[in-house]
Amino acid sequence: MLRMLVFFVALVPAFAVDWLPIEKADLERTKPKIDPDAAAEVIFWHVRIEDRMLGDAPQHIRRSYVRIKIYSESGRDTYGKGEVTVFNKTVVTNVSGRTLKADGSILEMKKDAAFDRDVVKSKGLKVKAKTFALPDVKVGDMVEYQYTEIKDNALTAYVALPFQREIPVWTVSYHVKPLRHPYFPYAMRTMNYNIKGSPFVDEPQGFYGTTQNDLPAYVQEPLMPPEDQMKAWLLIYYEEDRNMKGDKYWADFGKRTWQQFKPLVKVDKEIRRKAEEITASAGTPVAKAAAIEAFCRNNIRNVNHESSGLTSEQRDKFKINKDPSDTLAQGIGTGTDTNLLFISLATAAGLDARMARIPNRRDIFFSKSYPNEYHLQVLSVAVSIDGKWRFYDISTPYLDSGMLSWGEEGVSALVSDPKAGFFADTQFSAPDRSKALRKATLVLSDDGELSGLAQVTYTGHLAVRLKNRYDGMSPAERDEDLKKELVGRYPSVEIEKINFQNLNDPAKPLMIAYRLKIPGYATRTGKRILLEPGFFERGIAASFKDSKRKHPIYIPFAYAETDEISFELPDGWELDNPTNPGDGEFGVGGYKALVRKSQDGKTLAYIRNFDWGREMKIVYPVESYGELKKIFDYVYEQDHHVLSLKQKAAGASNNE
Amino acid sequence: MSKLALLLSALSLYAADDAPNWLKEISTTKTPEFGPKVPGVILLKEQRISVDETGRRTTTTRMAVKILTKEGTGMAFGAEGYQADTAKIKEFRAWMLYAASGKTKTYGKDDILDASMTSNSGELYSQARMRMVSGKREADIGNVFGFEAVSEDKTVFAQEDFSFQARAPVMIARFVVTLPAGWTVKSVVLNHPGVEPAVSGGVYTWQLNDLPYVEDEESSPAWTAIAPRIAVSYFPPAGSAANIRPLSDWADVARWMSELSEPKAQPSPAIDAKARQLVEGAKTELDKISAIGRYVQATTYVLITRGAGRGGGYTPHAASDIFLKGYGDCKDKTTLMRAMLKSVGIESVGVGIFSGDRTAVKPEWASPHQFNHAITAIRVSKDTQAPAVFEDAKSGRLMFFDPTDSTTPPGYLPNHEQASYALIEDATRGELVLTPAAAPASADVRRKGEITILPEGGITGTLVEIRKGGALSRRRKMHKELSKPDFDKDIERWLASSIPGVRVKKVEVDDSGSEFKTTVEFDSERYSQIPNQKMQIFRAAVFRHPESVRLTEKLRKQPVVLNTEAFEEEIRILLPIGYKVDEIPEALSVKGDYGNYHAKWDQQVGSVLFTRSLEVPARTVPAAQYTQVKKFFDTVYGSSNQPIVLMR
Repeated sequence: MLRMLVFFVALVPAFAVDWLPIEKADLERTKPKIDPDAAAEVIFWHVRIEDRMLGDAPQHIRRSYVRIKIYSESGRDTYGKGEVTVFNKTVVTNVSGRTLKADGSILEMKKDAAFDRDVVKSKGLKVKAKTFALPDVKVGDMVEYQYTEIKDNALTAYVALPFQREIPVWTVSYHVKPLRHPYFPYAMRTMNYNIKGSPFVDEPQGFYGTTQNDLPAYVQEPLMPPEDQMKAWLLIYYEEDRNMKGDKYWADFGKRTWQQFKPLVKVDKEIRRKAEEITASAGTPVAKAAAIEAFCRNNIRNVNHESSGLTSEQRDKFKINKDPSDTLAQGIGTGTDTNLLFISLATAAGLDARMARIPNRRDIFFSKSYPNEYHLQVLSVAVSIDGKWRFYDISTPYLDSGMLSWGEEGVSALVSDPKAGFFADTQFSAPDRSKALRKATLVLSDDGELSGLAQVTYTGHLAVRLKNRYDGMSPAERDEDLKKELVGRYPSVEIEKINFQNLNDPAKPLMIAYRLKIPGYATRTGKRILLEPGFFERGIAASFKDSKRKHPIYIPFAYAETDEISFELPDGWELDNPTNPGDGEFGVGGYKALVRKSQDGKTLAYIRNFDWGREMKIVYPVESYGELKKIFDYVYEQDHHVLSLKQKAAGASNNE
Repeated sequence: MSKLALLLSALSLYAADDAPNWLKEISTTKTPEFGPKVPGVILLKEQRISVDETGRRTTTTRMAVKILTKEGTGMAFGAEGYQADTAKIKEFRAWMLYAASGKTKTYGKDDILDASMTSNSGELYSQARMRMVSGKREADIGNVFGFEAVSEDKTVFAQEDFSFQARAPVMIARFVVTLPAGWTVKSVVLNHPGVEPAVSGGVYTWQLNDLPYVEDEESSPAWTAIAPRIAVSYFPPAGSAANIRPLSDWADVARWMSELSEPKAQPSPAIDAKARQLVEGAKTELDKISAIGRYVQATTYVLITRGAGRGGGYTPHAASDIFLKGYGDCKDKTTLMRAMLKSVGIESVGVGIFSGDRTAVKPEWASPHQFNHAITAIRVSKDTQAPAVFEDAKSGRLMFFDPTDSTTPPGYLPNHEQASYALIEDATRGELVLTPAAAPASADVRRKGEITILPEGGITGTLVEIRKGGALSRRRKMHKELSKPDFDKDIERWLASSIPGVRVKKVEVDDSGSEFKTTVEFDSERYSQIPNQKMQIFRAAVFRHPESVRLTEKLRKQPVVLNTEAFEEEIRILLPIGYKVDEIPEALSVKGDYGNYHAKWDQQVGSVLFTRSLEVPARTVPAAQYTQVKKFFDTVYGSSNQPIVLMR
């Protein structure tokens, strides 16, 4: 019994509940300090992290202490209770909490107010939660609680810690104590993002601490840069203590990447033969690379992606490829296998092709000034073509030739090299590479009904987005999805003969065609028919609805739209002094819409062109929001331009 | 190892990857051609419950599903829920039968999850769990997924509820109850013409075959109110040792629930003091109820469920504890409310109701399992007049009140709890009643605005919106939960849905308790459309009214659920100088079973006065009347788009 007790004590260090002094001014406070509209504010959030050895194994201990001031009922409902969720072998212990009433009295949280729950259990997976509710929390009170998380056989490995939270924070502090052990050759590193200077300073008992004050709440807005780019946060990790900085760090990492993949891109006889066959008619390096890219995309099925069309039994039969020849022979591979095969074939064809590590601007805007491989996890292929590096990624399905996933375009990639890795910029696709070409041939009735055929062709990133959306759907579900989108815009629409083409063909654009009928599309008044010719834009919400903005604006990729719509007008009706919608040239994009009447007056042609994101101008500071919104509101207005049709004078015909 | 041992070992290895005979047999079932919308067909849905003399239940659940489309892969999912306090899963197995190769995959422990179930975001603790397995990864089209679970339960409940289907078509749906000798059974089949059980000794079998696909349609009742279900209550003979509580009718259920809740709803001295303080200065009975009601509504919602298998889901905490902790769930709030009312001399009872679907509770089956929510019925005098007041000979005059819904004022019931069956949990006068459906006017939205159309097509204006009764709940909730900038932004986004480029210049809120008033000032450089240099066109219905009922399909299979709705709007539109009205819509008036709608565009000197009103009563419209109800709402929503044409 005694031995068991000793073991338990060693496993779970006891922390005496130690509360910090309470400021009278905080108790009396009725208005928020940082944000006058905050529902609650964090007065302090202290976290102490310690990595240590417990016997022969490491142990990670994290102790949190939070005090929150409640200003509203919604703040009380949200922060009057807490939940700590942990995975697998992490233990949550020493949970204590109390309510600090505005009148100075203190209500301790009793043991029956905290609960342990196994959220999910499975072999190898256990998610547990400790939930608790603080007693009698009212608006004006403060709540505070502490808890400790302990995980055996673990260290602080790439742990992201927030400075900012969903409510304002007066003070947040992190105190870390790295593991020190003679046989542990790693040093703890920290890196802070989106906040000015947060140096760690020496503290007693081997800890280092950092503190930040007066942080606003982190809020999200549509079309903003990724969270890791905007929110103040801290990354803690261990790294081999080689004391490398800046360019030297990256050169070394690029070299290690080369060494890692060199044995995996062997060129053997079969690869050489296949490369010759594939590139036989390709005269230039770029044509060779394109031919190899097309071959890999069309002939090697990605075992991990829906686009492969593999059944589950075929996937289960898949044998791990040891080298590119295996991938070639099997015709199936992982995403990385397909990129390795590409490198191998390209090398055999005489091209300089290597593995490259690419940051993803879906997650963060990578900066070389952070010497850390954390943000360089994506692998793609760099090929030297005419003295420039171009990048290819076979592992991502549906990409058009020469394009990368949008998050990997227009970033600095680390190209691997036997001597020293180096950075090169990935290509950025111009607006016309990601295009929606929307055509319709429509007939307008004198009661306002519109009917006819519509066809939309998508290329580039627009096509990838839709192909990914549709590839998990059955034909019926795809039809329903399209119907739902159109019904949202035109509640009375009837559509039939829906036809999706090239859904799984990476080499061809996605094409969607359908026949439609929309009773009441145009408004019939006593004397007129009022027609909005911008059929493809009508019913789509304005891009920017809010008049104010907190964050920069981020349009993920450049794109273009071209509309070509013809309307057959009802007999006996003609356009009443029509005007063209306006046009605009905005530098970063352009808009032009034209209305043309046929010579016989029977048909009307509407042509619209819009593009955005030229020269990779896709991120805009918050100060330019007003101007940007003005442009998009203007485009919205032109897209909803109305034409008035009047009845012809008696005796007149459509032939003018 | 002997030859026999080797053979046995080989056999057991083979068996490990082999499906049971019931699954193999059912997988050969010939199925009809289903339309492209049907993702999969349930070949077998079966539950067998065996009750022993002590009341202990052993439940065997079997399910086999054939995958028909890509989205049907999600149907390869087996799950068995249980209450960890009284039940345990004894066996849980699943298989995938591959159509292409004829092989079988047997799912192992690695594939099986056991997860805690939470019913809502306020839940802090519950012992409800689910054992589950997903075959989605292996669910190729044509494959058959099957699972079997055996559980044992010592619950006090002697009632079972089995759904023959959800939405997917079912070839065979079977429910079997085996009872000890001398036990009796009472059953009712819901949402389907009567199904008599096949009885053999103590074995009762209900079976339905070839159940068609139940399509999900907008504004239709929940599937539980449409798909066939069976509810069974069983009763041990007198003197039985079974530790269960049989419930034969609604009075029984009311008595049982009252036994659980009544002792907890007692005031403590602290509750007495607080209640008396709250009603100080209250002049009327309704004032007193409102003061206490608002206090309890403002109590934090926290759900802690322990011992659900023993009735814990229906047992509140003691009022004194709830008061001290300052939080609780719906039954706790009802209990605190009742204790506080008692402190000031007002009687009340607990009420069981289904929150979220007024069609869910079926009077044919007397069971507490039909309720997911607790509210309060307060005994009131004739002086108290409110839409939530109910009166009948048995229960007398009661006012329903939901102390959990923090934004619906006393005197009103949330829309989804109106016209719904609810149980008055009175030990002696308990009964199932239909809650009152408030008249449309009780969910009142009134808007008054003045706008100016500018010569270049811009707009500037002011809107005052007053919400009362049931209609103020949503807006008040939004105002409570959002910060001022976010609330203003929400208003701006609502305006932006009908006025491009709108800028909200001012938002003022006045929440008096019985009224929620929002005043908005706004402008935009672009509102009316300009087809040519002499013409302007605009909609007088500047402010979008939410389309609460959206009926887009031509045909309909399910009834249409209408919620109470009423609004009135009066907008004065000042016209741009130099323009005059060339065309204006004609007045519209529609009166009928589904509601009343009136719209009028009144041309005046330099202005147009636009008025419209809509009243919709809460009701469920049969599918046979779909064309008419669709026409009504098409007319209502269509009139919003009627333009006024100006010329200069």
